[in-house]
Amino acid sequence: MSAGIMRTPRSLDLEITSRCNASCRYCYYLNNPDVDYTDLPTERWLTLFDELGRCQVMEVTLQGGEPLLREDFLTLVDGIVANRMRFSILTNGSQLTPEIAMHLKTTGRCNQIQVSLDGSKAAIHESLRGADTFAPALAAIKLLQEIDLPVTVRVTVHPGNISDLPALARLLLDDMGLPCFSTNSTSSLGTSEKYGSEVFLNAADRLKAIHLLADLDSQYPGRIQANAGPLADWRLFNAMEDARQKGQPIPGRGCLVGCGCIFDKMAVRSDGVYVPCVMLPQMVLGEMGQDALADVWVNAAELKCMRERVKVPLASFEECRDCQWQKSCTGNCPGTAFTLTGEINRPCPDSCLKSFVQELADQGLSLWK
Amino acid sequence: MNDKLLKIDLNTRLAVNPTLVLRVEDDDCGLLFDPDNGTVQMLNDTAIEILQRLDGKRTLREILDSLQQVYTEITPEADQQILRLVNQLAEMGAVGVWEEG
Repeated sequence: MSAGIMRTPRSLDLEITSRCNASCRYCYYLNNPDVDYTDLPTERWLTLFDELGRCQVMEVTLQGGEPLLREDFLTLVDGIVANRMRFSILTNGSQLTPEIAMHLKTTGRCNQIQVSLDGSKAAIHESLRGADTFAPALAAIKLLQEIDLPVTVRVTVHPGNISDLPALARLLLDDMGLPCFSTNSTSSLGTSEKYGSEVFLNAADRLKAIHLLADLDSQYPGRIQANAGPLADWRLFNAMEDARQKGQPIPGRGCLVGCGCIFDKMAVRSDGVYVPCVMLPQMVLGEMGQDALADVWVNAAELKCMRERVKVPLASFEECRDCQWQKSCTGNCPGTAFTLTGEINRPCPDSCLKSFVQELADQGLSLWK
Repeated sequence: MNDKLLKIDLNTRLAVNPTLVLRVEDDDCGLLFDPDNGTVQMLNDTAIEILQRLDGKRTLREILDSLQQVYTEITPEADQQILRLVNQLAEMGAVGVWEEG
């Protein structure tokens, strides 16, 4: 066994279906080359859940596509529960019924259900998600609240909804009384590549979103979460700038330490292929039913390589060498780095503070007010 | 499984609560996960060794003996230490008395 690596992953992201009834223009999931968008029968997933149980996996996240489109969805949930795991669900909410919600509640194993909502009004939400998707999402959130299942909302920030973010925060946090919601932005993966400036934030958009979300973060302390996107960038960049000003680099950084998922988590595509992460759908590690999960987790060459990235100093990259934030930088998401550069052990250009600041300066703008 | 423990001594046969997940993460640590409430109890290597042997068939004394055959450095206080550990775990509902039949 490799030193310091768990024997099995603690959690897995499971893309249980490739089908979706929405047509989101920034979908990272569909339209990736080299991905086989087929679905597996119930028995294959149940067999995997038995293996996950034997591997002492603690939790899974059911996603897709739209996971609730599977006719056997509750059978799969029962298979997860029978194998002593907890679960989360990522959904657009359209297929959620009171019966399904009640079934999920009675399991007692639901960590959270995340519903996607991108605007406070139908026109904004549906601008990139497709017609008739707003009301079902809102109804699903309310249903989950009514039966007291842990519900959260994910907002994907794009050029068309930045100005609506304050109204959306009011809707979710004040009017609907959600404890929190999370934000991200479009990733350079899948369908989004077709739509360019319609879905991606340019530097000025990104700055506007950052400042709006930073203000909302002050207004609603602790209630807006972000692991990626403008708000996550803002928090990261602020910490890096603070460290630079103090001359005290953030401990544990200065190497490609961005994203610790590869040390406790893995993903499975809808066709049964093991991948390191849903953001790396093309990196095949093995296949369920053919390769033992525990073996793939410990011995897959690609995972071993990715786990070594934490030792790669940012100073070894030409673009980072003269960067004043280098010693406090993490190199960020390996998945996006791979998509954009074709190399897994490189810093992610999409999250580079130096280039963002330069891009803003070229337009006469500044990150820090 | 009887969760009303009256007294645990070295002749008691205990088993890990079958609804819990004993997860061995590497050679040095593991955790006890309760999927019904999501709580996690971190375990050191000694606790893992003991919990892995709590099969409802062997007494705590037999488990101690089996550990002594593997680990020469076990101290004379080990019997008290194992009793303290299993009592703590029993209070949490993580282990219980095995009832035959």
